[in-house]
Amino acid sequence: MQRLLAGFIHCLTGVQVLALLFALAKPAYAYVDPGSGLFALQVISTTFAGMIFILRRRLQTILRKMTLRSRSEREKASE
Amino acid sequence: MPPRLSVANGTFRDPAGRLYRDGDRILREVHPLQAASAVAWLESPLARRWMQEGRMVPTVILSSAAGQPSILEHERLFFPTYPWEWSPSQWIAAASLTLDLCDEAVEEGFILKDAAPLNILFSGSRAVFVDVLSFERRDPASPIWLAYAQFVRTFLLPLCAYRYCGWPLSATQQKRDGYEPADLAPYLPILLRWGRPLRSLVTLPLLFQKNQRLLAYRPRTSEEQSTFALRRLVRSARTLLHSLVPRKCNSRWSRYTETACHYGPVDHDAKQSFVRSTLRRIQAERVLDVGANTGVYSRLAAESGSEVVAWDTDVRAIDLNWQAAQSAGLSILPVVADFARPTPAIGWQNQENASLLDRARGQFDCVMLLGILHHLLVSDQIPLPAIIEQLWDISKRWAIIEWIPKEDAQFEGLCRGRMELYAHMSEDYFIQTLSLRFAVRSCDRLANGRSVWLLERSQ
Repeated sequence: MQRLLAGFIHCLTGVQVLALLFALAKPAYAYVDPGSGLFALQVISTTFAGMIFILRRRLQTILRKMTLRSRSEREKASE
Repeated sequence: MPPRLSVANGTFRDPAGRLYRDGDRILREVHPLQAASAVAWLESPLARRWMQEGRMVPTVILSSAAGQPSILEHERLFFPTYPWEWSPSQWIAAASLTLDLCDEAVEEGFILKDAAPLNILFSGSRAVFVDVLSFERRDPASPIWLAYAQFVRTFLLPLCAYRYCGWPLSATQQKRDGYEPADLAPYLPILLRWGRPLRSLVTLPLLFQKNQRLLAYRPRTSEEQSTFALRRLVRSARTLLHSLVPRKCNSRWSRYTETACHYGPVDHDAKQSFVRSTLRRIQAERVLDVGANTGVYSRLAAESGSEVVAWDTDVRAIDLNWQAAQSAGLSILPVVADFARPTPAIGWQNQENASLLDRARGQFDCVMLLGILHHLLVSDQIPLPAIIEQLWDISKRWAIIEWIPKEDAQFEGLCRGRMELYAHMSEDYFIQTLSLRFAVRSCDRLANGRSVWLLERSQ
């Protein structure tokens, strides 16, 4: 049973964990607009995409700075 | 009395304009408020490139003046079909085209605002985007593709229902706006609902559909970030689409040509040789192959230079026909259609989507009815004079028809002991009936007792 639960959790991606957290608090209304659930899921995955975008940017900046620093250190050492 | 909203005046659902026919021409009137942006879009390098590549219907701007409706003319595509007449592969091709165009549009600062299968027609086996007003400049700060939900409802959920529930794609005839996740959920096993792709298409959307905080949220980002998010969304939609490709399995008719034991190699060769030489002789520009199966004779006709439309009731056989035509680059449009129970006209006033026969009438230089007559007579119980009448109605000039005598093993098999009902079905009766509407031009008798006839329509 534990293995089954672990497998189930493993198969969820980050977007879906985030999505589940959002889904926990929801008021109940009888009327539902067409496609509203799909729209809501898109909002969550877009937020997730935004986070990836920012993370990638930060990583790129750090990597660029590290490369520049090591290059300048190498240049200093050769002088 | 106010003027009555009539389909005869053209399409009416899109407030930005209407599409209408003027004789053989397909024209579109664009509302003055949308005219400038529509013209700017059509003159953009991206739209022009798509038209050149044949991915969007070639369109000419006939008139465009400030404060006036613009008039556009579209190239007419031969034989329009509707999504409920497509095979799964055609659905996937149409969905792929929609995503490809949306992806390229996002990159160029546009967005697709309407992502439904009815925006696609087929020219031969090639999907073509026809609703040219569906693109607009996008808000650079918005990472949301508003038509995504429509894409899922009208493309992915019908494919999902076909793959996981076995609901026919033809059922979408009654679902103009597609399926909702709630329509499918009760029919899907609970464990499957948490696997890919169903959790993204059905389970999670169902969980969120009443979450007002999410539904009211409109994220705003930089242009670079919104482009990244939109392209990522299109990519994930493409992954979902690929996971919905139906499993390959044989149907009742999909292996008919290889397994037809009532046809020896000599019979096959004789029949194909007659059809090939006849098609070359009559030089038919447009051919309808009724009961085309996997398209052996459709390909013969296409190789003779004809534009071919192939009807069959077997979805898998149509799928194989489309795949073969697509890979060989032949001008064949396979359609899931039944000669005995043709697709009806539906929609507003029963006129929004034309019936199969209304679209076919007088469109084809030659109609082929090969190996299907006994099915129409016995299985569908259509009388021979009615079949000949319908053939006359559709064909502009020629018909190639295969006569299957009642002594034929397949005929007897279909009769299942009701042979006395067909006692009158002799070759003389066949000739006598068709002579009311056609003249016999040539005939070839096969060794298995069947015969193939070239008929010319009487005016």
